[in-house]
Amino acid sequence: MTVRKHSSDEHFDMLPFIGLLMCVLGVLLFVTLSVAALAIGPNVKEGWLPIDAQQRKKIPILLEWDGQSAVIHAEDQSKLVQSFLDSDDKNTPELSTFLTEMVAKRKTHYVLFAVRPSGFKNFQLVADQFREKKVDVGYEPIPQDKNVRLLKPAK
Amino acid sequence: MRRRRKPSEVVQPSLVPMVDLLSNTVGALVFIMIFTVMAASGVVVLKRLPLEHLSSAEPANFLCEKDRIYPLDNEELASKLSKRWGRPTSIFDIYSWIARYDGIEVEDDHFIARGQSSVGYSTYTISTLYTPKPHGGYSKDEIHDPNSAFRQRLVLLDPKTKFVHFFVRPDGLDSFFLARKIAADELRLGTGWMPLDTNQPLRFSSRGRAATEQ
Repeated sequence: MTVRKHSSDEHFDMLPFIGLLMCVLGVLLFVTLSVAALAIGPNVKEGWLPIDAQQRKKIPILLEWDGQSAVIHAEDQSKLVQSFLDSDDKNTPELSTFLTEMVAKRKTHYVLFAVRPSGFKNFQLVADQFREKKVDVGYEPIPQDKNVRLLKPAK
Repeated sequence: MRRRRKPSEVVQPSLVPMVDLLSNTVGALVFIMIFTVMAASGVVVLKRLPLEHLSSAEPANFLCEKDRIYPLDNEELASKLSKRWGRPTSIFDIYSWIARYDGIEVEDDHFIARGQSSVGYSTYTISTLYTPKPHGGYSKDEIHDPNSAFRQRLVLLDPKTKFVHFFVRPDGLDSFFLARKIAADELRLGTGWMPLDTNQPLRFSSRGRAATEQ
């Protein structure tokens, strides 16, 4: 009795195909998870689009306040400055410069504070610096880890 | 004649189901990626940007704390305190009368109001401390209800003479956003808010900061 030997030509190897599939899935899953992590992480931004831009006669300048430092969003740039609350020196250059700028254009601009919970305790002290100089202020709370930006309304 | 045996053919499995599987999976992941990238690029929030402004309207106060909203009827509580406090019996009784304000307590369903006073040499201070009751206030779920007590309070307010003012603690942000949305967007009332740190007492005094509409 003879046993017929299976020819190796009859075997179709699926391994490279499955390997390719796994690689593609792995890479896509990695990218998806990375982007999702970014989405729920601290870098996600909330854009504020004014719905009453037409009625507003003044232009808001956004200032983020976290209790220790301020981030000023002016002319499409963000600038981190230390506050003058922690020291006796009230002439912290950056914030003083910003205050002087705002005083100069207080008829056309106002300061819009985005206040984080950590800044609740001393926010009014910062705002008073502007109120005393007759610079109008508005303020809005934001969650601690959320970044914010001001969007320009469509004309 | 013996029939000649056909040479065996290589069995070729169909790759179509496999390619289908691959395509479907890749397609679904690409869809998830696009959605996630859009979400990661930021959320656009339409906002009426706040700006402090003077108004003749008086504040109707609420405290947002621990994700609850506590209606603060400070005028009614102050009136109750005043009745309990009484009046000075004579001009020589003034300082003693001021001192008697310290420690007087009255309450309603949501708050305990406690009088505080101190008398110094030719000076005195009078203030009222408001502490929310543990079972007072409304939860976020409660104010969602169209017939909620919170909404009924707001409906009674005249927009020309009253605006809704919130004292907001760090743990009350979500309830504040929801309550303000109801007041401003649904009931068209003016609103304003003031931040309060976690341990900062809610105290009203004659020299305190005035509530402003935004």
